[in-house]
Amino acid sequence: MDIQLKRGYLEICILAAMLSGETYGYKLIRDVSKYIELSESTLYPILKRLETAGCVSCRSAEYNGRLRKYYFITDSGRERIAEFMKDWETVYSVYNYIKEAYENDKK
Amino acid sequence: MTKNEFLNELKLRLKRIKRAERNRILQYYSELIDDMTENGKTEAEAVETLGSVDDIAKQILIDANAQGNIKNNNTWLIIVLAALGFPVWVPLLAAAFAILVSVLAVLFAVIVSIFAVEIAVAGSALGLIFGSFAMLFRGAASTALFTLGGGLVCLALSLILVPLLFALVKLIIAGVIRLWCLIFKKSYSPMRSAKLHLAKFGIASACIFCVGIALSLCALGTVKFDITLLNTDKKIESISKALSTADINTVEISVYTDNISILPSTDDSAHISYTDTSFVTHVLNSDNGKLSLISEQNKLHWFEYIGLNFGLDNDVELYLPESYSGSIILKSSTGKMNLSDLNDIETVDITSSTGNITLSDLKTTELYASASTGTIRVSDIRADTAILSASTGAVTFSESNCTDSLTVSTTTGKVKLESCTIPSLKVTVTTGSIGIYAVTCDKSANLSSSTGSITLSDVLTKSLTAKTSTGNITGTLRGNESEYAITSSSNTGNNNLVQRTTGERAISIHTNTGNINITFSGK
Repeated sequence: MDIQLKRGYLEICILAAMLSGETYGYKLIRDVSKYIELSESTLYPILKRLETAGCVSCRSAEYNGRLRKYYFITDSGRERIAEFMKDWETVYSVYNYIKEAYENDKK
Repeated sequence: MTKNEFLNELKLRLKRIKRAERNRILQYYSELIDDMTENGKTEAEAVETLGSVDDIAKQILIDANAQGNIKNNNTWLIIVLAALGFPVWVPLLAAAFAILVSVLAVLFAVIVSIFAVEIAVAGSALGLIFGSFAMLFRGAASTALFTLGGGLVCLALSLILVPLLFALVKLIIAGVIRLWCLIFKKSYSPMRSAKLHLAKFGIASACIFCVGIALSLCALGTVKFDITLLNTDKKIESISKALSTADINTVEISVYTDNISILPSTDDSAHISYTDTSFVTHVLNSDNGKLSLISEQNKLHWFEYIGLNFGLDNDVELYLPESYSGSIILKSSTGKMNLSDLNDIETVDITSSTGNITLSDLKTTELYASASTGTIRVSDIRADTAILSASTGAVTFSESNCTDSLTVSTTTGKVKLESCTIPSLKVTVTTGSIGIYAVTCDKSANLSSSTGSITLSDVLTKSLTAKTSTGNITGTLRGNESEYAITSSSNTGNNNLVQRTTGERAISIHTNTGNINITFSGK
């Protein structure tokens, strides 16, 4: 898959993983890797980018006698997902058109 | 590889990353490893999952390069350059600082001077408005109206200045704060803008201005726009009388604010002129050999007490014939007094508070003059005895002779005697200085001052006593040193005199901390 496209999906996936509540690095990797490949070393820059863009906020809290960073989605993060959904409606209709034409051609 | 080994390796490879960012990255990986071990993996397995340290570090460095998170390697170079450039950047920095300070000083001066203008205008407004009431008291209605008009115009100007002043001060303060934020890279938050009420002030000011102008024009209208007719005092009567002085042996004039002049008459009779006003009248009386002019105003007005006089004093002029040989007694509180060209007067007795006393070309048996803050100026006088006293005013006595004695006393006023012949001279001052120039004292001269200095020049005396506490005693005496018996002392100052026990003349000069420097001219 195209690397730029994959990076875009990853950002949305990570945002989507936060929709059900705040989460932390290890849990994000476990949740998202079920659908798309996400390594530990790729997660860090993505989180950082999302934080700089204001889509994600984080806080440190104590867990098991150590500090753990918890990430949660912001309003502009939600908007980012909504935009993605809207874009993909177009992509989906284009996909359907292409698919129909391709299948007709096979017959 | 353990967690710590992994983190140390990573840290070594991320040396070029800025410290804060590096710590965040190490924190992230440490947290991940912890989470993985808590979920059943061993430390080694967890580290294994992360992949090779080299690959991770390489990726991080690429990202950091893109985001500018790389430390500046040129720190040392910059320090060296800064040290080498010392002669250049220190003067530049100093110049920049000097410019900043002078700009601030100029702004401060502008604020202060505008405030000064405001205070001056408001002060004149108050002065003129108060003054107009004072004039109304004196019965000068049109002048009072004119002054009130002027006062209102000043008031209007000072009112319109108020919002402009505040606007300017705010502007300057905001500018300074902005500059401060700019220089020290603080975030600038603009001040809450307060309302200036410019319109309200403007309307009030314009109204007052118009009323002021209207009043002034009305006042000018009453005198048919001839500004010279706006007299400060309403004269009821200017009186001028010719008097006979044949049986008169005493002339007494006692007034409060009038100036008094006593001058010689051109004919054989006396003439007196004075002005009665709506507020001050005079009573002229002549009986039992005494001619008296007494002002009926027996106290000063409140506005005269606070120094507002507006030049309201009128002149009393008395012309005496040459044949007059009686006494002259003059009293005035603020008026000036002037006597000249009179011969053979028995006694001249002058008392003044703030007015100046001027005497010239006068021949009298006794002369008494006393002033408080006014000065006493005497020239070309022949008198037997003269007693002059002032408090803060100065006393000048020149080109005059006394056949008997002269006594002068002041507190802070300076005393100056010049070209005089006086047998017995006594001068006492507290802090004022004493100057004696070209004076001959056949009998004795007694000079004493507390902190003032005593200066002598070309003085001839039979017996001189000069004493001060902290002042210097300097100057020249006529004659040779050998003519004088000298006693002198200065406790801490210098003393150039040598003690001598015999001589036809005697001098005794003493000071506590001052210096003594007396020379002899030999003539």
